[in-house]
Amino acid sequence: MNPLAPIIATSIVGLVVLVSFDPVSVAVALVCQAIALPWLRLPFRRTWPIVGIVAVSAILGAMGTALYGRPSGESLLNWGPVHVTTGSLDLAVLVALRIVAIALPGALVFAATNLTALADSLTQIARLPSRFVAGALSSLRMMSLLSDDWRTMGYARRARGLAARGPRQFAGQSFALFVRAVRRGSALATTMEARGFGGQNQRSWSRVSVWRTRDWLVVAGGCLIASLVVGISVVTGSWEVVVFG
Amino acid sequence: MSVPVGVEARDWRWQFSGRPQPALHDLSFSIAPGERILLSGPSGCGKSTLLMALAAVLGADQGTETGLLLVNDSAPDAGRRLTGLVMQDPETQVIMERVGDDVAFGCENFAVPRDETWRRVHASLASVGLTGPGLPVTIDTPTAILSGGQKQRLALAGVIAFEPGLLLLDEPTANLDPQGVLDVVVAVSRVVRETGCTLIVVDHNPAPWEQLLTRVIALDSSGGLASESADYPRVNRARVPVTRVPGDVVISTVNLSVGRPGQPAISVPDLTLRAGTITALSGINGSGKSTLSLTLGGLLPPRSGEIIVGAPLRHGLRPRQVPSPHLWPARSLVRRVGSVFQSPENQFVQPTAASEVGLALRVTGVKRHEAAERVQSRLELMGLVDLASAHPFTLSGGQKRRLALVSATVTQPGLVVVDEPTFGQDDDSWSDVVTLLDELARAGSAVVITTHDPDLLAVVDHIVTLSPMVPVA
Repeated sequence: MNPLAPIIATSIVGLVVLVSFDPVSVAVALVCQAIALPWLRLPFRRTWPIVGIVAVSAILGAMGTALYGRPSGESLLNWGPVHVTTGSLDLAVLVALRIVAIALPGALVFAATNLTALADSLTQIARLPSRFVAGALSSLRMMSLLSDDWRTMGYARRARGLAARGPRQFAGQSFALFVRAVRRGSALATTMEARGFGGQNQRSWSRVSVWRTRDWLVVAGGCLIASLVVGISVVTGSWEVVVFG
Repeated sequence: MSVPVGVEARDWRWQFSGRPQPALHDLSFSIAPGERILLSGPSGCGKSTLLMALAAVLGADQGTETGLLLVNDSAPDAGRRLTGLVMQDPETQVIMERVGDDVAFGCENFAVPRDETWRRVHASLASVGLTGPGLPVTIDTPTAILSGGQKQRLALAGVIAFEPGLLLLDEPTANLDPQGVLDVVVAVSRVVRETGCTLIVVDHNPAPWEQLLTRVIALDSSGGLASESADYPRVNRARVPVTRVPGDVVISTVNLSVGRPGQPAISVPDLTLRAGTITALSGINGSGKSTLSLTLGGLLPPRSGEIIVGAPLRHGLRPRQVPSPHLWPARSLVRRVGSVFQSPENQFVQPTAASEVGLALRVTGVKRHEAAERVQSRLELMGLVDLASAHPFTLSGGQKRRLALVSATVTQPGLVVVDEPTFGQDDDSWSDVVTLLDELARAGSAVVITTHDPDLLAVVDHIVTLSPMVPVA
């Protein structure tokens, strides 16, 4: 499967859920995604950390809505700016589910994607500029080195007699990490340049990225889920669009 | 097949922006196609800068040049495909996620057709001895799991795949164990003989290259040309006679195993480090020398076993802090232990060389004028006085290592832990480093170093050999 296909499919569903704002469409989206995702047979990795991060964001979003959301229905707690009502509680649950439906499938699919294959696909299928894509690819790979850098810097500061904790130390170390990332980035850029990257030459691709019928099917599946979400929601009469402002 | 290219310099001069002196000046020399050159010169004389200029990766925004530098009779930029550069740090030379893709990267940039690219990928990897019958690495191996020596050979494969006529190697044996050094030298020799390309190598340990090289171009310490055909450099290191007197046990270990977070534990031999002695940890890459150094330095908690803190370090500690150095607060640690990491750049936290050296003195409350004197004398000892106000990151590899060493030991800590102290040093600075280690020991520190350097191993009191990877259940 072309790595771009599941990313496009989840983006389509995600967009529809983002626009909608009613319990039925979110519920339909969640059920369809739960059925469709395993069917993609992607090598899902780092599943639990991703679920954890999405869950925390969902809970935070829900708490904010419950405490400060538009009051409606019965009042349950009124304490200064905090006003919890049955309406704001309903809204909170909806917000949490929306966050899960929009963020979780995309994050899982992206984590399961081979970045090199995605870059090949972006340059050859989506025809994005190869300089931009190859640059983004190498910088993403560098991200994994940053956690090691952070740890080493912690050792360094401690070895030099600087306390390890506290906001000032954190700020100092963050800045040092930033400097280090820039230095690493420029060293990597030199390496890439020394191998002819960024020249005026035409570039060739050593790996072929192909788009097959099944990739169309995956995208079509995404469209199907999106239309189910809108269709069922409209038929049951609960369809609502998110209102900005 | 690559066509060997020549190099010519005519009164060439390069000055980095913001530096008062040129990095390189009055360079006039010529290298015929197919020559194999050792570029030698003292630490910090501009060898790396010259290689970067030849590879056309010195940006016009980084400094100004005068005179002429020609690769194949034209300016380096036009001939980028003609030059292949392999640099010091294996970590910053890996571009892609998988071995095959990394080697293919250069070919792609020069629009080599797909089938030809993969033919060259396989040929280059076999040529540097990374893949082949019986070897564990394939084109699908993740680059992240390669050792330093393997990454260095991968970088070499990635460069020879686009068939440059001029190969530029900047200390390609950095931090490698003797086997790793040999592997890289063998790989380069094979490539150079197969392709006939021109070769310029910078290496402070030139001995393994001697068979291969045809001529030595020597730079002087100011970045000028010392000689266009110098004698092959003989390592001439003034060895310090070992007449040190062992004192109290500073630190010892029993059944210790060590490990970095998220990695398997490695068990290490029991150590007894006494005041007034230098102990060397030896062993191949991956045997746990650096991890043990971090653990002794109080930066990693031991995985199991015991670190016993001796009387010289106990003074002034609270009883509950005594069991292991990793429990000590940073300020107590810096009084007692001086650690120097394998990559010195990782430990710089100050904007100038002088403030870097003075940091530990400020943290421990040494009076200002006394601190200034001590900083000055240390910088003098390491030949870094002229660079006192330079940013540590702008120093050369060898200078960074000497700066890291004096900054970590300026408080005369009871335990000194140094990872690879002599790497990247010329004969003079080698002696400076060894003299400092000897002085520290004589003044009562227990010094423990990791090293592959046979000359350094000859002047220590004890050698402890770590065996490779004994995982602890």
